[in-house]
Formats: sequence, C-alpha cells, structure tokens
Amino acid sequence: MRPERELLKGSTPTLILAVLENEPRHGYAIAREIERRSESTLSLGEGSLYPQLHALEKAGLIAGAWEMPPGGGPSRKVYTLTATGHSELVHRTRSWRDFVSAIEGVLKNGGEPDVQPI
Amino acid sequence: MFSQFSPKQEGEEITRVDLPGVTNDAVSHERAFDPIELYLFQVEAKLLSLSPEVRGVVLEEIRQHLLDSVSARQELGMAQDCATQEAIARFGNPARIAAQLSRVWREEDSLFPRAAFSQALLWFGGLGGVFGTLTILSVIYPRSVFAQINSWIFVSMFFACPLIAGILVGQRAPRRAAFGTLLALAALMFVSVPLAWMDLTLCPDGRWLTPGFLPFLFTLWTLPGCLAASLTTLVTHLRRPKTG
Repeated sequence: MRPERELLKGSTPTLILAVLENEPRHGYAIAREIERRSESTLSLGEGSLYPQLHALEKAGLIAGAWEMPPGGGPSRKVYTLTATGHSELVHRTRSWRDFVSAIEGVLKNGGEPDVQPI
Repeated sequence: MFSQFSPKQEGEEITRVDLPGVTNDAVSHERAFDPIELYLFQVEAKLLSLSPEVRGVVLEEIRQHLLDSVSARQELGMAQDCATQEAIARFGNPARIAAQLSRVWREEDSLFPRAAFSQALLWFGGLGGVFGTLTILSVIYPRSVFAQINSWIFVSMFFACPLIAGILVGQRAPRRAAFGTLLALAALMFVSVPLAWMDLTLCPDGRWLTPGFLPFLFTLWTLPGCLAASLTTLVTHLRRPKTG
C-alpha cells in the first residue's frame, strides 16, 4: 500500500469527526464533504467509510439516526457528533498539528547536506 | 464481479448471472439483474455471521449511498448504466468492505459474547478468588489473622461478588452480558471442581465443602450475577443515546 493511502486510512476517523462538527450528515454527504474540503485531493474508498462510521458510532463519538429527508424520499442514516466526539476531535486536531509541526521541523532542511565549518 | 453484468440492450437476450455457491432460484429476479442489488447481495453473502437486523440496516445504508451516488452522476449527464457501474466501482470491493464491516460488528453482534465473557471471567475469577480464599482460610483456621478480622466480612463479600461482577460486566460489555456471565461462571466452575475435590481430600476439617455444595454455590452465584448483568445492560441501553 502506498504511504499516502496508509496516511489517509489512519486519518479517516478524524476527517469524519471534522466534517460532522458543524452539521449532521449521512454517509454519502460525508464522503462528498471530505472531497470538497480537500479540493478532491482526498478521495476515500467510499465503502471503507461505513466500517469507520460504525466503529465511531460504537465508540460513542458519533450518533446515528434514521431520518426522512424534508423533501420526501427514502430515509437515510444521519450521523451527529456527540459531546465525547467533539472532545475527541479537539484532541485529535491538536495531536495532528503537533505531528505535522514535528515532521515539518525534520523536513525543513531535507535534501540539503550538512555543512561542517572548516 | 459487476463487470459480469451486462445491461439489457434493446432486443438483446437476457443472460442470467450465476453467483458462486448460490442457486439461481435463491436470487430474486430483481437482484439478478440490478447491479446495485447484485452488489448488495455480494456484500450480504459475507455478512452472514451478523444478525439479520444489523445486516438489514447496514445494507440499507449502502443501498442509499449507491443510489445517491448514481443520482449525482446522472445529474452530471452520465447515462444510468455508466453511473451505476462507476458508483459501484467507487464504493469498492464488496468482499473487503464486508470483511471490514464484519470486524466492526462481530464482537457486539456475534452469538458468542467474547467481551462479556472475558470481563465476567476476570471479575468473577478475581473477586471470587480473593474473597473465596479469605473465607475458606478464616473458616479452616479460626485462630488465624483472617478469622480475627471477621470472617463474616469475607463471607459477605464472597456472596456479593456476583452482584458486583454482574454490574461491572453489564457496564463494560453490555451486549449479551448475562449470557457471557453464565458462560464465564460455567467455565470457572469447571476449573474449580477439581480444586474443590482436592480441598476435600486435603482438608478433613472442611466437611461442609461437600460435592453437593458446588451446584448450590453455582446457582447462588449464577442467578444474582446474571440478574445484575441483565439489569445493568438494560439501564445502560436505556441511558445510551438512540443510534437508529
């Protein structure tokens, strides 16, 4: 598996929590919102979203409920961020920023050979 | 998989889709010719270890996703057949997705409640072992330090173990907590019978520890333990936010 894919797979729960922060969404809308916010850079295997959603629901970080759309049509399972999920999102966001900052610190001089003073 | 499916063209003879290990009669007409239904059938075939309720909910959610995905593509001007095939391809391999879903749900939904069983074994084994040993020591050696503390405290704690353990199991592994508790107690009794026989042989003073005492102890422990686990599960379930 390519490293980018591994990275995306590990970050998917955080992305899901992030897109549910402002409003409840169903699975398809979550996938589209991740794609929209990342300007199509992050393209999830849509089927893999559901095991992650169910795992987050079981962990109590999000809550799902079947709702009828206002305009009619078949009901959809809409997910909402719980209070625990919100705290988890804050924690994950902080950890992610620390991680990115640390990696950037290492990469800052990447490719440039160390110059020893003579 | 879905590439085996050929959408019916005008005047073209329809070819039945043969699924491995499934007789054609078992596949409804709709399922055999609708790519989305065929895809769902392939997912469902790998989710048979889950309960029908969970399976139904999971499949309905996937169906709605695929229908939304097809509609969105059609709105962009794509033909229905192409839109359906692309939506399915984008969703991913049905066997892999079913395996991932199965992993998420197996623990909670499987018939054998491993989490509840492990929790019950831990709590019953731990609490029962400590207080049971202290009780036996305080009865067999009345002049020991254990008896001086007050053997009734140990006895009370020993018989309160099922209640404490049942509540803890119900809280931490609520799914089928009573069944897990029952299995754990049966396993513990299976292990403790030979130990009790050794006690009978080695400690002639412990005449009260007769073979008939073991089923009595099992019943005395099982009933309150399972009841506490069930009630805690019920309370936990009622207090949990509705998840649809």
